[in-house]
Amino acid sequence: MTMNSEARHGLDTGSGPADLALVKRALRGESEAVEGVLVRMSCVVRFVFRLNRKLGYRLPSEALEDVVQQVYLSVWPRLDQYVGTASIESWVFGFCRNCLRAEARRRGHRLRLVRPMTAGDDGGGEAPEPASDEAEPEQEFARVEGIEALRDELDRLSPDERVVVELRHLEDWSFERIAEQLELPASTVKDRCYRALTKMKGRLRRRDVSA
Amino acid sequence: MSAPEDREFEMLLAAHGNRELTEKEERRLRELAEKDAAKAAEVGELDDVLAAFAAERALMQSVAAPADPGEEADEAYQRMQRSAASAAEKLRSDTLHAKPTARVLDVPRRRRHLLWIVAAAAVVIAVLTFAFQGSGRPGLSTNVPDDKLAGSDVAKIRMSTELRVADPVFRWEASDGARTYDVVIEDADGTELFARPDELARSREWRLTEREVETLRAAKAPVILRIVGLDGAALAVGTTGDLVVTLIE
Repeated sequence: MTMNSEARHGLDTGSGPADLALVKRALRGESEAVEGVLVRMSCVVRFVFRLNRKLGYRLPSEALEDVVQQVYLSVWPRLDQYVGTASIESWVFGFCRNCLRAEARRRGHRLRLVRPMTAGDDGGGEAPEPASDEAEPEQEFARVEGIEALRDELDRLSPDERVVVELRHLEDWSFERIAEQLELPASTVKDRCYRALTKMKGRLRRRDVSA
Repeated sequence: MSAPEDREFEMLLAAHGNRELTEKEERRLRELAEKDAAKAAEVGELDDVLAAFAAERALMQSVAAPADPGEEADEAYQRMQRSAASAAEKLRSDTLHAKPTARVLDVPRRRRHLLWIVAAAAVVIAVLTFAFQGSGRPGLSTNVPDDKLAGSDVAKIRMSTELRVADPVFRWEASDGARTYDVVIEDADGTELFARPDELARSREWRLTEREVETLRAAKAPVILRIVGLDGAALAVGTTGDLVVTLIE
C-alpha cells in the first residue's frame, strides 16, 4: 500500500521546531520573543471571525470580543504545553475552535437547532457559509454538524491518540514524519491512529443513533 | 466470505482508515464490502469519519487564508481587533513586568562563606527538631499532597462511585476553574455505554434514567466512570480519572 502524497496544509507552515524555539524564548521572558509570539497570535481575530460565520454560530460581536480575549488568556498560560508538532497558528486554531464553541454553548446555542438560512429567511444573522456554491442547505447543515461532532470526539481521545490523529488527518502529515517527530516506530503510529479512528467511528455512530 | 477474504478486508479497511489505499486497493475493498452488508456498513461509517476530517481540513484552510480587506473593514472585525490588542497588551505587560529580578549581594567573599555556614546550620537544626519530636507533639504529616498541591496540571475531582438504584445520582466536588463537566461511562472493554447530555454540562450531578441503570446492570463489569472538568476554552482542568462504578440494589 502506498502513501498518499503529502499535501501541504494551509495552517501548517512547517515551522514547528522554529516556533518552538520562539515560544521557549518567550517563556524565558525575552521581550523580542514575547512580541514575536503575540504577533503570530494576531491570527486569532481572523480565525474567530471566520469560524463564527462558517460554522453558523452567528454570535454577536460583543460575544466575539469575549472569545478573542478568552483565546489569548487560554493560550498564554499554556505556552509551556506547546510542543512544536505544528505551527503556532495551527495550535492556536484549536483554542479558537474550543473557545468559540464554549461561548456558543454558554449562550445556550445548540448547533443542531440552527436552521440553515434559505432565500427569504429573516433570521437577522448569517447562514453557515457553504463549502461550495453547489452545496444544498441540508447537506451543508449536515457537513457542519459532522465537523462539530468530529471535534467533540477528538477532544475525547487520549493525548497520545489525539496528536497522531490530528497530525495525520488534519495536518496531512505522512506516517514517517509523525513517527520521526514523536520518536516512535511508524507501525506503532499507524496502529494508534487506526485504533483511535475506530473508537471515534463507534462513538459517532452512537451519536447518530441517539440524535 | 472466506477467512482469507476476511483478513484481506480487515487489512484494507485499516489502510483505508489511515488513508493509505491505492485506487486499485480501494476498488478491492469496496468489492469485498459488497458481499456482506455488515462490512459495507463498516466501510460506510469509516467513509463518514474521513469525510468529516476532509471537511474540517477544508474549513481550516479557508479560515487560514490571508486577511481580506473587505473583512477587515467590517465593524465587528475591528472591534475584535481592538479586543485582541488589549488582551495582547495585558499579556505583554504581565509577562515582561513579572520577570524575576536577580539581586546581587554585595558581600565580601569571606562573609559570604559565613552566611552559607549559618544557613546550613539552621537547616540542620530544623531537620533535627522535626526528627526527634515526640508523638504527643505536632509532627510532619505523612499524607501525600494531592495532585493540585503536587503541581499537576489537571486537578483530581473527588466523588463517590456508589450508585443506588433507588436514587441513581452521581455527584462530585467542584474543580477549580471548571465551567463544564464531561461525563462518560464505559464498559470493561472501554466501549462507551453512554455520556451525560451536553445540556447538563454545567451541573455537578447526573441522574441516570431507568434505561441507563438497566444498561449498567447488563454491561460487562467493571463499569468505568470518568469525569473531566473543562474550563472556558474547553480544556481539561480536573478529572476523576477512571473510577469503577458500584451499583447498590
